[in-house]
Amino acid sequence: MTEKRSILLKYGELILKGDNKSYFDAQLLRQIRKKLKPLGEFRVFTSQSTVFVESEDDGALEAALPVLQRVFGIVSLSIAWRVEKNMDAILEAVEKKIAPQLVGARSFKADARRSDKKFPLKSPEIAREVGARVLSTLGGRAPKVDVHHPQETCWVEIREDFAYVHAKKLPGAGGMPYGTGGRCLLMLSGGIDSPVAGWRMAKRGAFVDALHFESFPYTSERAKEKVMDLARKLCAYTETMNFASIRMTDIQLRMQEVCREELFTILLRRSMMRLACRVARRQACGAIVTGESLGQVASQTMAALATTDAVADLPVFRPLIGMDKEEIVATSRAIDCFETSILPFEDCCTVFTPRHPKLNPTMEEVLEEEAKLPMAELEDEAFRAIEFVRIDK
Amino acid sequence: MIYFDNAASSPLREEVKAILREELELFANPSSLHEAGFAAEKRMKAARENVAKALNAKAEEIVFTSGGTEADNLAVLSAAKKMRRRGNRILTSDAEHPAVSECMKQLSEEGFEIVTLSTRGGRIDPSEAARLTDEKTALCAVMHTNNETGAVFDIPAVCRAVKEKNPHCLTFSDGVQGFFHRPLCPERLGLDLFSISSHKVHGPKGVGALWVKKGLQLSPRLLGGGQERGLRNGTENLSGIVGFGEACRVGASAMQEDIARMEEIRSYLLKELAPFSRVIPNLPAEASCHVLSLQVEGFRSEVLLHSLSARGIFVSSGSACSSHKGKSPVLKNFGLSDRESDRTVRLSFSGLNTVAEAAEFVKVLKEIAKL
Repeated sequence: MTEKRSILLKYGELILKGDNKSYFDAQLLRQIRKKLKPLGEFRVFTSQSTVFVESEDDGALEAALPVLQRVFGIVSLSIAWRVEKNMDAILEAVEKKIAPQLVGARSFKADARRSDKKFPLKSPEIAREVGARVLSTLGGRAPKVDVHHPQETCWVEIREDFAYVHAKKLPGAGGMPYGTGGRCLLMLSGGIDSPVAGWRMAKRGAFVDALHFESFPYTSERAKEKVMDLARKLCAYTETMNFASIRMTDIQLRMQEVCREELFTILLRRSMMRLACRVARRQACGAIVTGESLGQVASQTMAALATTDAVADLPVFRPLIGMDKEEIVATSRAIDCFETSILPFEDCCTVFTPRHPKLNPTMEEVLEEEAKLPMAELEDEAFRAIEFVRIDK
Repeated sequence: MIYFDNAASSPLREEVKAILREELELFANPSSLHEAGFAAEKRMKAARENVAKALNAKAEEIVFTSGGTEADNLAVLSAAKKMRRRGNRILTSDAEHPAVSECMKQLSEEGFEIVTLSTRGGRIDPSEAARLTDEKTALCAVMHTNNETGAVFDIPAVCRAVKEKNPHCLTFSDGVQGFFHRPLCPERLGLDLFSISSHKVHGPKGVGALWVKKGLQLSPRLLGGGQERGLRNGTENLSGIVGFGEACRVGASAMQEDIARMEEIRSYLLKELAPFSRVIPNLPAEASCHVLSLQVEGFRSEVLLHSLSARGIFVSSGSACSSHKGKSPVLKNFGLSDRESDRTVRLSFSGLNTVAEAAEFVKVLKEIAKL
């Protein structure tokens, strides 16, 4: 038996796309090819809602798996054995390669699909023989057969050139191919939430650029480096990222001089939002993304969010708005950001944090406080000093 | 760049760089019997003699380690183990570097009674040391010079007080910050064990030494091939040791001049900053020439540090090692409130600094702090 393996990638909701499907397909393939390029030579093609990834180099194929698990637009992956289109070869692969994978499963079924209708057996007949071979190979160790809700499915797919046999499915990243959902600007801090928000948008297919606000010397260069490390982590899912940073120190110091302390955070958030919209427009981003979650802190009450939204002239997406901290932390861990997010840095921006922030600010009082400062002028100055870095993995 | 963080680590001397470049080509194991191994052993011997000379000690009293931390651990843990049968009391200070204080924590868990001397005002009272010593006291471990405040403790008086009450008690001092900041002879200080580090005195990182008084037998912490008279096993970090030796050779001949330079810088700063009521020096009873600890009112230390750093001036907030671990108790035990500790920065000098740099520091500080 020749041991050729392929990775089969299954689409998620892309199948549901109508006339635009070819565009989404093309984006997905482009992504896959790009991510695989550093790993070696691969053949990547689609056939009937499945992407096939093949390589002469078995090691490269092995290395490709974890990379493909991070490509958005793929719901599941499996390693299939590629064999001659005859029942002997298929059953040999089932016996040697597939049956051992099923040991320990509660239940299984065999299923078959036949795109080559000239194959002598029909799909149910193939499935029956495959199931029987699994049972005879494993004997007492065989899982029980359950055709309705099996834990594992042993698949045989008869395609144009070869038959593919596979069982265990690995989870994919889900979502939509990166870049099919427009471009957005993520307000990225060094915390746990904002990287997760960025990841969620990337998962829905958006290009993600990042904007970071710093308060040097009240925050350190190391703290900023940590934010860039988080951006690099996100690049494992996206591609490269435009990373901008704006220094807010002067604005904060001026606020501290003349504004009411309880409104510092709200006033700062509004200022950041105005600046974010300016950056977004310059980079052709169609929306702002934040990691806010309702009620998490004082500036994330409904009233506070309303006052920040009031200055935005682009849609503001908050993918975490209805999520609990626990859920956010779980995602943060899953995307490998958590350990970086919780790194401590001597951070002194607490100097500007009000002791008792206002939970329900009214628009009138916010406007009144804001009018005490030449905001437009201060923001112009901050915007002029913006710094850009291009980040990749 | 103005580098006032020498207590964290110091730049290599030119002579040290030169000898390290030569070392890059040499690799033989000093334990090997062939010619190349013998040559390596000779280089190590020369280095050992230079380190010993800097301490007015004998070459065979020097045990090379991977740095100050390992020397401290070796001294404290091995001494405690050796003395365990005589007694389980250990006398130490509340200003020790974590390399010592963490050992004390572990020994306390193992059943030792740790008795702590106050360092309030940067001073240890020898009569308190006498009062706290009894026949069960196995070890006295008090640092020579504190890394955060520059306080120099009266080691001879402490050792005398302790040994008078209990002549069997071993005496150890962490000398990492004292080394080359005044002439030192551990034996004359009344010590049995004394630790030093290379990178604080213009040598390479990754090497230090423990001075072990002749005749004192200790057991190793790392077991192996018998290097360093069996007390510190493992193939020697030869290039580091050779670099350390060179730093000691040059350092010994430059010491008087270096100390004079550091004293000049320190008193210049104290004089120039005196008119500003918002700058408050934390002055210990007796201060080392190389450290100046300052509070600047209205500034959290990290904020001032970042502002100075942006202007190319490098200082430290507290001690560099404690920046990983949150607040160090040293400033509190010195007598500072939390608020005062939070606004304390540490300037630390070397003989390679200049008064002109100190003048530039004063100028920049005036601008930043609007003095």
